[in-house]
Amino acid sequence: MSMEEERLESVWGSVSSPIIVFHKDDPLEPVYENQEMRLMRKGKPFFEMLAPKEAEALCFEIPRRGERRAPLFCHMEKKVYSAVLFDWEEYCSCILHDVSQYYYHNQKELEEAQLANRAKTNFLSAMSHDIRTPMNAIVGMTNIALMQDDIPLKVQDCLDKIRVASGHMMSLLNDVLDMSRIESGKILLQVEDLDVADLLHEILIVARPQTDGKKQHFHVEIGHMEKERIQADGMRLAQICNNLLSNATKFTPKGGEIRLFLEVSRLTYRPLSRDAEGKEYVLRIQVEDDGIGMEKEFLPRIFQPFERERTMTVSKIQGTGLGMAITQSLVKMMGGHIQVESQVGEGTCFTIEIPVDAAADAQNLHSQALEGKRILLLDDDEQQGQVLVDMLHSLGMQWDWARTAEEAVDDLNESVFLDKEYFAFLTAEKIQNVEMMDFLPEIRKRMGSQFPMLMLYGDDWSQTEYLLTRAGVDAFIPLPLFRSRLLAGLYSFTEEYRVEEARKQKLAEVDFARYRILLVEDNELNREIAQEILQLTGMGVEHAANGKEAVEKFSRSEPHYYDMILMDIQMPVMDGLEATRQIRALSRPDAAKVPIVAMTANAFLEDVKDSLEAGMNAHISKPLDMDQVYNCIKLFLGEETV
Amino acid sequence: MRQYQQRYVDNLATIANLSVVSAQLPENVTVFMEQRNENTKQINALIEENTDLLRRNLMPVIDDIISASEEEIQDLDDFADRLLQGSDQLDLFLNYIVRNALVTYARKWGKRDMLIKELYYTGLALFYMQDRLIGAGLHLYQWKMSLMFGEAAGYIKKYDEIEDAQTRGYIHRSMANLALSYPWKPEKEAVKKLDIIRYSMKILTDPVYRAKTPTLPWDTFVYKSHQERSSGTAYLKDAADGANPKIVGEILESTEYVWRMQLEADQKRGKAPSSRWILKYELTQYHCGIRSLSYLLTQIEKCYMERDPSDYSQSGIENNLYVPAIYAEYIALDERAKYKKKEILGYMYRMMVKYVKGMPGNQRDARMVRNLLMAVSRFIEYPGGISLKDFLLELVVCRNPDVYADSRMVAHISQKLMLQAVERAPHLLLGLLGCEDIGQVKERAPQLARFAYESGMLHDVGFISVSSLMVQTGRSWFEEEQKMYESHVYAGRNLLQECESTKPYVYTAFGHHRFYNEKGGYPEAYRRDENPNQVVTDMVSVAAFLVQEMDGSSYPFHKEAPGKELLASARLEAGSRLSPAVVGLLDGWEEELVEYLQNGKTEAYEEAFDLLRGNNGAYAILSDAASKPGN
Repeated sequence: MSMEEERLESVWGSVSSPIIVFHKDDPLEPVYENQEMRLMRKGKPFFEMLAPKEAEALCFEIPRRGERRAPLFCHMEKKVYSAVLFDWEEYCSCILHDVSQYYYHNQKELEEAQLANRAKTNFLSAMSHDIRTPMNAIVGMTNIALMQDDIPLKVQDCLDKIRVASGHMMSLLNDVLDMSRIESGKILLQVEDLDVADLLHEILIVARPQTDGKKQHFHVEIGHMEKERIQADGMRLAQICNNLLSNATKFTPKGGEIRLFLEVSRLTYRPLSRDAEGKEYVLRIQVEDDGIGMEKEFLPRIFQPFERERTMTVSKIQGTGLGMAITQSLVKMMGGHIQVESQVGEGTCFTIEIPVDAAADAQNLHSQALEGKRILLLDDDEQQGQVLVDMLHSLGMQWDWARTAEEAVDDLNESVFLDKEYFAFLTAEKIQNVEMMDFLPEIRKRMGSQFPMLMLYGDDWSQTEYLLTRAGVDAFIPLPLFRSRLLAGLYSFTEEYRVEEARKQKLAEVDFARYRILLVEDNELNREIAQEILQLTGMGVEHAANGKEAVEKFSRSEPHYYDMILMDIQMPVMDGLEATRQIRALSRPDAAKVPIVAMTANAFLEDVKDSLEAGMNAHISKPLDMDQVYNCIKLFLGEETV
Repeated sequence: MRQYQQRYVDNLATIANLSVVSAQLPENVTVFMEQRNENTKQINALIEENTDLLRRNLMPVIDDIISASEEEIQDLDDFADRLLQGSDQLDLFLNYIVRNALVTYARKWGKRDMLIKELYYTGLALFYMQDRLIGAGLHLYQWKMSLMFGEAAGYIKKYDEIEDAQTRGYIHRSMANLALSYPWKPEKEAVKKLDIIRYSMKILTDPVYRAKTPTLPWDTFVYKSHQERSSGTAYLKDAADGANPKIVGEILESTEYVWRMQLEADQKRGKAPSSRWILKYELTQYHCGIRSLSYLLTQIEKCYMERDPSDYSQSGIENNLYVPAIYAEYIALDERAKYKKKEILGYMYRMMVKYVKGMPGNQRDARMVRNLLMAVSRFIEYPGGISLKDFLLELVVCRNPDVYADSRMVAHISQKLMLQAVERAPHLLLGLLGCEDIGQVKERAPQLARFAYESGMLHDVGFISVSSLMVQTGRSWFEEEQKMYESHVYAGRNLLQECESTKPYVYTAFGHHRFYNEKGGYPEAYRRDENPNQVVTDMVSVAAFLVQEMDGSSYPFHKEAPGKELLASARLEAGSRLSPAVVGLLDGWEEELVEYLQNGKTEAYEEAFDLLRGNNGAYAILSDAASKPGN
């Protein structure tokens, strides 16, 4: 026995429970075990005695010095032990207590409770389906209205907002479900490539009307954006932010200040959660208000379901009390953490940090098209100008930064003498001491009609778009500023973009008229909406009211009569999954090949998995999104044409 | 020119004659007023006719300029020429509008030579427009002027493709004029200015270019460029020891060049060099470190001593007014000099008063006013000496009798309002002139009344620098003209804020057109809550409202309104445009007020003419001061 083992023996040797000690840096190799432990494992390696998941959990916890508060159970043979971890010098000691009696007694109650919970989840899931059906109609009709020609700008703006807000409402409907899904571990994150600018846009569409309605001052700040494209579940992130912002709006008086801060920086610490392991970046979200604040005593309970502070009920502020619990659960699922600071009468600040991975950035290819090109920048805001200049620099572009209209004109004049060529003019919305509606037309005249003129615009520009466009502005770059938005705006004026657009145009001109599609949908209204969208492509559309009818129609038709089947999942008589299985089982040449695309409102991962297993080729979620439908059709039918 | 264009130009000339107060000041003001009313009617009719001529004939062409025939374009070009011929600015703004339209036409149809020419002339119009705003310290047209000249100058890159010599001349002129759009301060701008002058001069002195277009007046171009570069004293003065040696060298070189050319020209004419040129030369020598300040001041004194106090020619005016102005500017650079030269500057001011008051005939000579304004803008006050306030009240405001007459009426009504407030609402005046309680308000009633009166007299002092606009506008205004009109509040503020005696009047001069509720009027930059004398500004605003509404003679855009209806309209404006508390002070003396509004102008003009004749009029302060050496 080494000296160290002797020392450990002197400390732990007399304990009657089994103890095993690990070095924190090497949880796989025990450095000491007492007599009880040796007797218990009978020569088998310790971790091999545990179920793999339990072994993994234990390994994960050891370097974290037993910070976990929930019990950690280890099943060994027929007994169940509770593993308690102690942080001791550079070691982590694991003491096992035999809790078999307690565990098996409670297991029964647990199983009963889980059954009841599952019943609740199923009930809520079914109910949510019924609520979402009319929502489909709202979303679908909005899409159809948006496709009409010559919609007045304001109406289009309203429809856009209805589209986005109703989409968000659908996800809000899910909130009630979410808690039970979270409780039953059913929520699966849909991690995909996500543009932080898009995320912010989605958040603002919901949040701005709320803060505007209360005449609150809503500030959005963007911190350092190491990466603008990340891998994350965008819908859940928006849900988290909107939960926080909705609370901030509720609990901040009229005219108050609300601040949303977003940042993606390099992860400089080791995340606690296993889900966050290996992530390189951290998405930091902060929502701060100067509202009524919370009592110190309430803060530890804020994330518990159905907990509401007394002041909320007194001030008759509505809410389920689920928002913060869902928020915290989602954040944890993402491997992040949430903190809250608050003071009564002064306000509240929530800070969320979520480790994320960077997503592939296709836009880097776009920036190549801009490399070396020179921008004339007009901005009298030093801070904003510096951000812009940094972004232009990161795009490999050159720039001349004018702070006044006079300087901008000087730069234009000088460019002639110095043979400098500007690729575009980029200006802030307002510049001191000059009327932009006078200035911009003069620049347009001077530089000609082909010269790109772009404007940074903070607010909703639909009201002034006409005037500004008439004054010579070609495009708007929305604020707060994102590199991706700036890049997209500038790229759209390059030769490369024109070529790309021409190619897309060619793609868009695909003739669908020779195709026939079978639309399988039981809900009449949904069918009408889908039919209208599909008919816009020019293709022939036939329909079936349920799965059985679809199988019959397909069976009766000539081989290759249908080029594609769009199939609802939940239908009376025969659901879509069964119908797909039956079609695939038919012995005709096209039965295995005809593309079958699922349409469902419950776009959860498990649904997608089920539909693929039934033999479907792809999945599009309801309410039908125009782009998604076209892309899907192109994917299966368009390629050969193009 | 087309018939309507000729008619328009003729009408402008008639309007100018009708609106100007004749050089020979009227003996009988009542007759003058009658004549003036008659003239006003004629002017208004002509303005209406001119506006109609433009609306019917010119605007349709301008609105669709790209469809205009070549003949129409030629006529427009001739018309624009007539509207602005050098310093003869018959209608500067209309000239600008026509030129701008011609630029659009030339651009649309790719007429390059025409485009270059029109860009040059549009830039020139903008230069003159900007020049009018110097007093107001505004730079509304600078960027656009630069844009026009810059574009035309840029055609130097296509010089060889352009065959027309005149067009080539416009390119050189534009390049030289581009320098005009850069100020001398800050240094960054000065560097740009000199860069463009250097670039321009390199071309102007290049034998290859000269050989390409031998008919151009190359030496004149070079001289003009040197002249512009020699005007860099503004830069040198501010840069002091930290001046960029390269810039100093170039300014010095150009000053020497201009000085040499001037001497040669004067020798040919058998004339002595003018004090303006001598001073310019000496100032540059001083700023470039060649001469000391004491040497410079001695040279200025020498120039001054060689003046003829009875010479009212251009050089006489310069010697008697411009030289003291420069003297004040340079002794202000050194506290010791300011102290040591107090007696000399005091003497110069006293002589200036005598000189201005003693001017025979047309005392509103534009050169006189310009030089007087130079003296005002560099005025130095000494304790016990002549104050800027008295100088303005007695010597400057009357240079525009129309502005004086209106201001005099506003002053009278403001004073009455103040006395009403002392009696009926003394609480409004707490804090004013240090009044801490009602007792002090009553005690200081005369001082308060005087303050209100002088605030009224000085509220439109800024008009002195933009008054030419009022005389020369012979049609309905364009938006640009409204902006320029509004600039008088900035000019007033700038004139008043430099000296202690005039500082209390700054806020009223700046804010009297801003609405009481701050939701209308101008300028937006005026902050009511920063004004320590809010109630006085409110009184002047109410008085100015009444006078302007009553008198349409000076302001073509106001309608005449009978007195009583006018009071009713003031009450309607209470709470929005006008202070309700001050409007409330109109109650109880309506008849007296209406009577004054209807007849007070005669007395006001009488006073203005009296001052212009060199009499003391209502003021004897300067005359008294002028007679006392040591002031």
